Formats: sequence, structure tokens, C-alpha cells
Amino acid sequence: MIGVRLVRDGARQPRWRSAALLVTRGLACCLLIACSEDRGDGRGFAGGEVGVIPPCPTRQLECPEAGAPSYEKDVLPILESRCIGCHSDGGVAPANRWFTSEASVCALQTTIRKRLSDCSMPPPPLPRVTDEEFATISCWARAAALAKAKNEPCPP
Amino acid sequence: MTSRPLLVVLCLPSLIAIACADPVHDAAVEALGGEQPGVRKGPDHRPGQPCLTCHGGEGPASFQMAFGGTVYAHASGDAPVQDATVIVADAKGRTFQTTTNCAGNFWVPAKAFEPVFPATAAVMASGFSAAMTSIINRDGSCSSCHTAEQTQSSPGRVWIYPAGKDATPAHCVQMGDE
Repeated sequence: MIGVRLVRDGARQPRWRSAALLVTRGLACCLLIACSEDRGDGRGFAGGEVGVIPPCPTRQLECPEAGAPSYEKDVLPILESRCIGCHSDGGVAPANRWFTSEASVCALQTTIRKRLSDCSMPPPPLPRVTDEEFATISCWARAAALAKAKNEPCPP
Repeated sequence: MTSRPLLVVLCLPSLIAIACADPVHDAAVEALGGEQPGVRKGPDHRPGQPCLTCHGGEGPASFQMAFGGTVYAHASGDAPVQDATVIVADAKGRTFQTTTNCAGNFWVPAKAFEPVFPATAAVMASGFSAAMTSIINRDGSCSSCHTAEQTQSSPGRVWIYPAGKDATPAHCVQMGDE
């Protein structure tokens, strides 16, 4: 290739000039390669799928007339798995939003129900509570609100 | 008289150096320091460092990330959390899920997810979860804000476990282990 002589305006160019042009072009290619991006896959990547956060559903709440969910048995396990990581000492939630006792949860029952209803809690992109979890907490919160109206303690 | 092609040949190496150099970026890469002893370049290296400094498209790493970071067990200490689930969501509500490795490192390949900022993120591990209460405006390097020390401009590390809950010990294969 070096020996190829380029012809311009009908005149022969010297051999060194052809070689220089080739080197120039080669270097230009190197420049392009050196500065171009290389998107590999990354070794050891264990990624998941891309999804889309769905709109917040409108949930119809139907609570049983008698036998509200139990705080200890029904509500607390949900709070522990969904909320207390943030809503406790050391979590990112402010201290006036800590779920440290039944009394503290009872005092926040209106806010809790509202936040679950509008899907602002658990904060996206954390998974939302299920319909069953929503019903359990909301029905307990409703019973707590009724008890509060009667100056009675929250349901245990 | 020197011919024009010859001049170009002589100048091109300098042009290449100038065209590809960004002193600010080079300084940021330099500031990261060398590799940890016994850890080779790869998925386990440099936990806690801002991944996109090198993996953000400006090099020197060729593999590009949209997000990258490290999940620790607690706000202090160096115990990483392996197999934590990390979810990022962009401004369009699109989510991408990934998992931490033995070093606590996780990343989202730029090839797989091109987020529209602002974005947000959450971490889940062993029944514990934490979500960001602020937004990610532009930087996909978690450690750019989540520095080792908590300061007025940093909430500290990305951590997940409450006090008393220890991380399952994770061991990355190091040089000489094989």
C-alpha cells in the first residue's frame, strides 16, 4: 500500500508524500477509535427488567362490621416489613413519624391511611402495599379513628 | 519548505492528545487513587467510589453505567450487603432493578437503561428497605453524594440495616484466591 502513488492534477507525487497521506489517514482513524465510546455489557451484571410504575389505583375499602384487625397480630408484621426500616430510630423518617409503639401508630393513623391511599408511601420505587395489606391497615386505622372519637384506646 | 501532509503527520499525535484530554476529568480520575491491594479491576473493585467518574462515558473504563454505587450494612463500618435489591426509577416512572454483588457494588448499564432525570432509588435487603427522600438530579454515581462521611451536603453512605442487624459476611474472590 505504501508503494501506491496518488495522482493529482495529472502530476506524479513523490513516494514519501503518498506514505505521509496514508499515515495521516491512519492516524485520523486512530483518533476516531480512541475517542469513540465502547458500550460493553459489564462483567457479572445481574440486572432486572425495566418496568413502569403504574398509576395509583383507587381502592374500595370494605371493613368488617365486627372484629377489626389486630394491631399485634395483623398490623405490626406489615409495618415491620414495609415501614419500620425508615420509620424508626436510625431510619430516614423524622422522629415525629416513628412507629415505635401502638400509641405512636394510633396517633398517626389518619396520615398513614392517607399516604397508603395516594401511594405516596411506601415511597416509589419501593413496591406498594398489596390490596390485602392496605385493607388490614386501613380497617385497623378506621377502628382506631372510631375509638378515638369515643375517647377509647386504639384497638389492640 | 515543509509540505502540508508532513506537518499534519507531525502534529496529529499532539492533536489526538489534546482532543481526548479533559484536565478536570483526568484530575477526578487521578483523585480516586489506585486499586485496592488484591482486588483486580472488575465488578468488585473500588466500592464506595463514584463509579461514573470512570464509567460515565469519558473513560478510562469502556463499560458505561447509568447508575452505580455500593450498599453498606450500616452508616459506619465497611461491611457491604450482598444480594440487596436496588430499584431506580426515572422521571417517566420507568424502573430498573439490579442486585448488589459481594462487594456491595451495583450498577445499571447505560446500554440497558437511559434514565430521564430526575430519578430516585430504593434499596431492599432481608426484609429491610430504604428509599431516597430526595431526587437524583443528574449524577448516576451514588457515591458522589453518598460519601463515607455524613456532612451538610451528604446523607452519608447508602446503608440498609438497623443497629443490631449484621450483614451476612460476603467474600469476593481476590487475586491469589483462585
